[in-house]
Amino acid sequence: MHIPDGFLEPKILVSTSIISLAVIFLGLKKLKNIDINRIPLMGVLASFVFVVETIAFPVIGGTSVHLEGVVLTAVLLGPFSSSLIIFCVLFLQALLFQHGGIISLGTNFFNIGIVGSFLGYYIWKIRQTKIFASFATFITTIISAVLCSFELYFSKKLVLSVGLPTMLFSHLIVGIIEAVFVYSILSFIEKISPHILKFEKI
Amino acid sequence: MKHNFIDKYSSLSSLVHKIDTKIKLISFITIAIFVSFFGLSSKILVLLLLFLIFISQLAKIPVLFLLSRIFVILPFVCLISFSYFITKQNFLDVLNVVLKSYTIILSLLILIQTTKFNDLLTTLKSFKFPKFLLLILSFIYRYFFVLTDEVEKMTFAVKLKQQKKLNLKTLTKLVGVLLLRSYNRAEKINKAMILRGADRNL
Repeated sequence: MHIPDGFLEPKILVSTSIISLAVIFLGLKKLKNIDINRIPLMGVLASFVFVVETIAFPVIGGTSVHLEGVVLTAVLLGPFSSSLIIFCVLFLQALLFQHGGIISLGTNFFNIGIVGSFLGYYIWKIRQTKIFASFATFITTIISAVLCSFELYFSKKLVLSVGLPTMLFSHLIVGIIEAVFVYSILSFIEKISPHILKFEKI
Repeated sequence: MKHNFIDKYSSLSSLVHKIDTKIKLISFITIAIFVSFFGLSSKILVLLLLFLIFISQLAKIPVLFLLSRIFVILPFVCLISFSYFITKQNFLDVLNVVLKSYTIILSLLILIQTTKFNDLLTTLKSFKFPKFLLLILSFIYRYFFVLTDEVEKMTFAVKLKQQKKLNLKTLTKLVGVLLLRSYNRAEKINKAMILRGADRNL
């Protein structure tokens, strides 16, 4: 869920933005001396994620969900590259489609980008198989939904007895769909061009 | 295939379009910070909103388009109004949140729809926005159109070959093909960039 502007209290906005800025700073430092061959790949993967996120599936209740592709990029490129990519994608979504706010960008990046990239990557790293990648996708989707509802709760905008079940239920569906997607995309890549999976993970 | 659905109105000419991008960007950020960090009352927000609507009309952006973007925050509004309903809190607070959110959205829309995307990127560059992120952002923006064309072609091809609606299995395969195609494109771009003398300090 991309939280729009105006819904969160300043203390939450500031605290999550500080963490997000620290991660971006570290990521930029880590990626300073990367191979130049990586830059177009990161750019095109970023636009792939951006396009995939614009394809929305309708769900019950008039709302729609879309894929995130965070764990997929984390598995292909590593946590820091993936979090920078997701930051750019979220930034553009906020800018062009108003999907999530500009001031709450730090919070959204914390929920989706950092949790998805780092937690997803390290869950996948335990045993590097497709099953673990899709499991990581499911877990991170649920955790970002929980984080989102707690942030709204601490801003006194949401009662947990209403917010948590709604968020959990809708993200349960999203998580399952996305886990299936990640599994089948990874097996597709493995079958057709496995060298993509062997990039250095930064 | 239409390509101008993102910043449709940025090529119009009006007084607002001619203002320097730096000024527009700074005033947008000021409004956004003011609205989200200082607890403004609804009266002030309505005044601000009227002022922004006046500016958007100077910029010749259709009102219907501006109104349509309120749908982005609708799920959140439903969620919090439901939880306000349960705890029997003051409903005017919901109105205040909606006004806050929409004020920021409207000011962002005025910025985006009156500025060309490239100008925005160069302005961000002059504000010391990290170069690496700008590179990825410009990649996303450029290849977004290429990839949406690809998606349209692929869905058209599927429609020609089967009468039924898309099922999950074909959809995952399509996304996989899209990923591989964009990867191949990235490799080509990379070679072309290196041939033309690209290095890390782009």
